[in-house]
Amino acid sequence: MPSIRHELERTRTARWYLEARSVQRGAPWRERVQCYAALSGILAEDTRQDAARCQRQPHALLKRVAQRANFASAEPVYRRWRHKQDGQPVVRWAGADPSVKPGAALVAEAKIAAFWPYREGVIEVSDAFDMTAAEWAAAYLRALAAWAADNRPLAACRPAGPPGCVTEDMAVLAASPGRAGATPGTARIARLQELAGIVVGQVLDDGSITPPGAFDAVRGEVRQLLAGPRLSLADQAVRSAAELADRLLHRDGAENVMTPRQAGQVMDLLGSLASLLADFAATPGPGQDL
Amino acid sequence: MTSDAIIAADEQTRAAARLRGAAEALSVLRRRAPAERQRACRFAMSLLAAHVPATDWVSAGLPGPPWPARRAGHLLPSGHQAVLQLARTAMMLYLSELRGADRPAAWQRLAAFFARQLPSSEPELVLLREHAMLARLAAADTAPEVFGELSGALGFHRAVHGEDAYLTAVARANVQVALLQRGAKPDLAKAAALAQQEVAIRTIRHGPDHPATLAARSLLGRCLLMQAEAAHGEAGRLRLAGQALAEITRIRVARDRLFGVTSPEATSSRRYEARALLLLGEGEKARNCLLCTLAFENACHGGEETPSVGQTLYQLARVERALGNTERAFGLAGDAYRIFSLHYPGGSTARQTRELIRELGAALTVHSAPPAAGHAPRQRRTSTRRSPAPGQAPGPSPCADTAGRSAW
Repeated sequence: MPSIRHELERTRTARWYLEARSVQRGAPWRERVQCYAALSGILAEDTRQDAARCQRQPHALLKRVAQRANFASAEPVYRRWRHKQDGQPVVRWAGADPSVKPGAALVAEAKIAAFWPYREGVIEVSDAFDMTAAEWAAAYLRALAAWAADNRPLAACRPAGPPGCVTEDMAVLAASPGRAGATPGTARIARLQELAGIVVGQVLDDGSITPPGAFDAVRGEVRQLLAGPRLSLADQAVRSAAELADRLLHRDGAENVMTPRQAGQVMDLLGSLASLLADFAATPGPGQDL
Repeated sequence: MTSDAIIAADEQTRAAARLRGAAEALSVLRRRAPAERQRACRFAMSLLAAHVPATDWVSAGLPGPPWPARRAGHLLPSGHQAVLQLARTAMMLYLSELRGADRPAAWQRLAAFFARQLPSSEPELVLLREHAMLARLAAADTAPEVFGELSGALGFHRAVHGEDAYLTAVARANVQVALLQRGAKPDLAKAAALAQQEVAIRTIRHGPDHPATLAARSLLGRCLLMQAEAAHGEAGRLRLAGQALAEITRIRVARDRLFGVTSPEATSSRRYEARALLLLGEGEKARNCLLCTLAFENACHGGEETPSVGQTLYQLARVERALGNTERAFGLAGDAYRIFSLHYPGGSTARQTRELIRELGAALTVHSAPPAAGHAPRQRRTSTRRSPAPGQAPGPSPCADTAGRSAW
């Protein structure tokens, strides 16, 4: 999937993150990082005291973040994450929607900032190995599970679940080349988002679950959602046999199409298959091609 | 904490998280062809070299980094959790290049490397030691210390995570695999009872077709199969084999869907199906099933002669013998022996395959020495004779099918 990196670098969150971290805005970003770190510290502390508390958004969150990050008052923190962003060097990720309260906006951003390097690690590998959509989804969702395991209080903080960028990334994945003709686009995106939520939920439910263990809960459906248009088994067999015959007929001396042992195995298989097919062809059936 | 210290800590956390994301992505490449797996291993090693200060990874059982490392901005200590996780991924990718007999030692070296840097109660270290024991089980090593270590790991996960936790369930399954591998009758009965409990627990927790439940169901199917192979009475053998076949086929269908037909999970189920079919006197079907298994294994492993290919060839030899094709069985057993000798020289699988070869050689009235390499002359199938009564079939397979389910 060579183009996915390019697409992932152009999502709204990717552009926001790049801009927010840019060198020119070094100091504002550093202050944001201090607030994220303060938030994580508060959530971890609350979880140690009472596991159920980590699932709520802490009371007077911005005030506590300000205190922990050594700000003189809560105002500078509030200003960063309120919906009116006049004059802010880094605009909040949640945008200007007044229904998103400053506390929720901070939590949403902290989740994204914590998840981003996991996402970068996946993209680096997927780019180097030209991953298929199914492989990419597996890698991404496993990394998401790793994030949730490493940042449990943050992942559990209301609204519990994956960071907001996952929605955009799943949309990129669902629209990746070769996916046309499978489940309709919007339904596929919505379901992939839900599956990402299930993966994080698995981690929050069981403190010992590993990333592949969490991914297992959605493996079948991810595979189904991202499979290319399916050929019938008969068509696949015909296509493979034709390709093999073609390569054997036209191979140049240096090309090693198969070893003699493999050739023997294919001969055996085709011999057995021929007798099975002969029985099947002689059986009266519905007479309709699948 | 000063602002600078917070930023420095954040940079280190980010570097670790990036390695963690890369490790998860590289793990997905385990299902690629061997050459790709090796490339992925080199990639992992280059990441380790870039992020960890000068470390002798070769002494940890891993290959050295493929090229001189360009240091990343933020280095991580070699005992960092993210480093351990990436090293474990690199080892999984690297192992396909090693002989089966060398794999346990490689895991041991990795575990020893991290044991020098982490407390023994570190959960990641416990997982590494479990890996080492599973590699020994795959090599049919059922020494008491393997049981001891796996049981110890089970106790650890119980104490740390609780009875119902994921890692506890995986550790329970590993102990069951060890019991199965030992293969004594009381062990089989115990393993079957434990597997039955495990299936019930996982079905309630995850549903019947979840990969974790399928792993437990597969163990139960294997227990039934081995009990059928060890049964004395024909009625009991047929009943158990019929039950095993029905269950294993259902598992295989689910695995085909979840992992793909060429996946190791699906091919190991196919091999069990063939064993059940042979017990039921369905030699032709067993042969077709094993030929498909071989084709899928070739597709998955790029034609490499892995221990699992050896197991398939061994089973195929048994099927051909049951069908009366002794000469053909002799050639297949020779192929299996060559693979086992390569992976586990002097191991029980090679020894028992040699025994099969000796019996086949006696039947052919040729000298009983096992072929050193290559095939006996191949012949096209001429006989369609049904298999002999199951009582005449060879005993339990000596082959170590894929050992316990790794948590990773």
